[in-house]
Amino acid sequence: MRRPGWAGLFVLFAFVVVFAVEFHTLLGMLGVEVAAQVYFPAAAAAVIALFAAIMLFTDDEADEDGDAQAATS
Amino acid sequence: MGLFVDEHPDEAFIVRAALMSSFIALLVGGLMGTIQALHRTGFVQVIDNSTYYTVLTLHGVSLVILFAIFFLVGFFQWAITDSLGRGAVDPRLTKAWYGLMTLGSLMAGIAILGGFTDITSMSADVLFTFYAPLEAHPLFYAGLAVFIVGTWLAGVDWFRSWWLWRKANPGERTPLRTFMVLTTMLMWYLATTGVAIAVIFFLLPWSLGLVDSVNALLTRTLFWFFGHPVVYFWLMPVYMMWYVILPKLAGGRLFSDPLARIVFVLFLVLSVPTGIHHQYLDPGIAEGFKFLAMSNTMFLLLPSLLTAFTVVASIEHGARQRGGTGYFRWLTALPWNKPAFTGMALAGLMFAAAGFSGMVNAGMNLNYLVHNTMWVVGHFHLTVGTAVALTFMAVTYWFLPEITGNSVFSERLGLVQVVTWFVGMVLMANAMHRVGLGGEPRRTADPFYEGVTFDTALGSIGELHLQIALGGLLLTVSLLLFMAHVFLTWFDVASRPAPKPETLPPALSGPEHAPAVLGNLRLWTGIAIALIVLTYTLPIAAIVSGNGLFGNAGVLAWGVETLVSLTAGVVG
Repeated sequence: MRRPGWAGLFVLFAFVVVFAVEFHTLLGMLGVEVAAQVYFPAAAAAVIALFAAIMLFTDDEADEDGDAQAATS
Repeated sequence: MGLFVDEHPDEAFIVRAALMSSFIALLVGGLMGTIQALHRTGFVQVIDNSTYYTVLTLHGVSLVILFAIFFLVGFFQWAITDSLGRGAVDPRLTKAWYGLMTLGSLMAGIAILGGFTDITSMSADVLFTFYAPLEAHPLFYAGLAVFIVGTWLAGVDWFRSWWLWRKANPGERTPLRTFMVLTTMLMWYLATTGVAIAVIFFLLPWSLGLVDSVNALLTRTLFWFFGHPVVYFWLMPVYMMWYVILPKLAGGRLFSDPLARIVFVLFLVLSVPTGIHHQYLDPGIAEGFKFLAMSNTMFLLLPSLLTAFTVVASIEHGARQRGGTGYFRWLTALPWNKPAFTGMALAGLMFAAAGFSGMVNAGMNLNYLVHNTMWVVGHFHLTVGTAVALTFMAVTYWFLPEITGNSVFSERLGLVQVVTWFVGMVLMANAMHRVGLGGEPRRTADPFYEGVTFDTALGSIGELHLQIALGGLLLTVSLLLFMAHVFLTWFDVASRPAPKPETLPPALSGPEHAPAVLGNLRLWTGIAIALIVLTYTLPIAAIVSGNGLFGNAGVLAWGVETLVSLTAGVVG
């Protein structure tokens, strides 16, 4: 699997961060109250694990501009 | 074909001046926003509660009037000149409208700034929605009037260029960018009649003491006659950027030129007769008129949905040109490393969310739940604060080299800037929506009245306030990054190589596929006027007959009452 360029990773990170934050209040809406002191460290660990997995288990083919597609086309 | 600045140096000067004015307003308005976000949430309070309204007015006026419209006129000047391939007919007129807009901005700005000091009694703490009964210093109203006259003259300038082009090119279809500018300006002329009447005949004489009172409901109605279509005045240049620049950045071409023209015609026809949907809770306007405004507003979803289809189809075409494949995998082939592309794409995504919250605002029954709450503030931070502001900032990374002749300082820094804005706005706007659902009011320095805690099922208010404050701080960081970036590019601090000239590719389905009637601007303007007359005549007549032109039923009101009776008789 091809690794996204640094730009793609950065945009992905932005989406992951906002999803992680908003998911906490979404859980609250569903009646699942998770203490912030528990949720946010767990969410941060999950985000770090996700990006570590992307870095470890993908092939690096992006160019230095962060453009993954340009490197392969 | 060279850079715009080389081909049209005089016009590029005006574009640069307009953008400079726009960015100054953005910086001022943005910093006021930071103060508000921290003050309202209680984290940092550097002003007292009474000054909050001066800050709020400066925030609103700076951003939604000065930042947005100065950017718009600069961009439109480029669009007209570049697409027609000819300079301004009379550069003196071009300089005159820019000068008037600047003068008007300074007049209104001085009146607002007066609210910060006790040295003068001058103030204009009337917010962006400057209708009665809030009253500002006459300089504020006069400044707004001068500013709007400046925009009118800008439209005259562009129409003159087009008329001369048409004489020189008989039978040719108007270039798409010019068509978009002209339809936008026609809509603006119609929309601003309401606010012009409100300012010149009511608010200015009232603030000067020439009349004792005004009909508050009438000035509100005239304001919203302008106040909703002004949203489309900000959005239509954004749509132009999404239609003509975004597909190019994605590596492709616009999917359909005729569809883009249809969208702009629909905005011309439908934008104005919708304003009453801001007044669902106003007594004095019959429910039937409100229902009509709601219907017109819902029709406006059509051009937005057409745009979503056309722009996404164009982007997908670009991605496939770059080697993208699959149902969704093509998304990874897009140039996410370009801040101009990423910023506009994220702005478009956020605009979709804004459309959903906008439908709640526009629906009469749901509106009763969110009216005058922070929900509405969250909504327009997604529309004007993201769809418009983020697109304007993103397009600057593509546009600035064209008008300055300098390459962008750093694409990476630009990407960090637009993504920071996106994250900050998601946090802030979402939390605003949710505290609004919890009942937290807007337009107030301190939302916590005694004994009211706004306990809600949708997450704790404290957590949401933290998101608002955090989002506001991220937006401030992004704003400062943007301003630094503009400065470093404008003055070519990095001495980077000169940029290459950009050309915009033709649409996949070109203007020759558009029915000729689409270009009949007289017809569409006539239909727009007819709709406005149908939507507004009876409500305004009823408002005047009920309370008089100046707030007291009298001789004038009797005349209007007779007119209403006669009209009702004819209709009946």
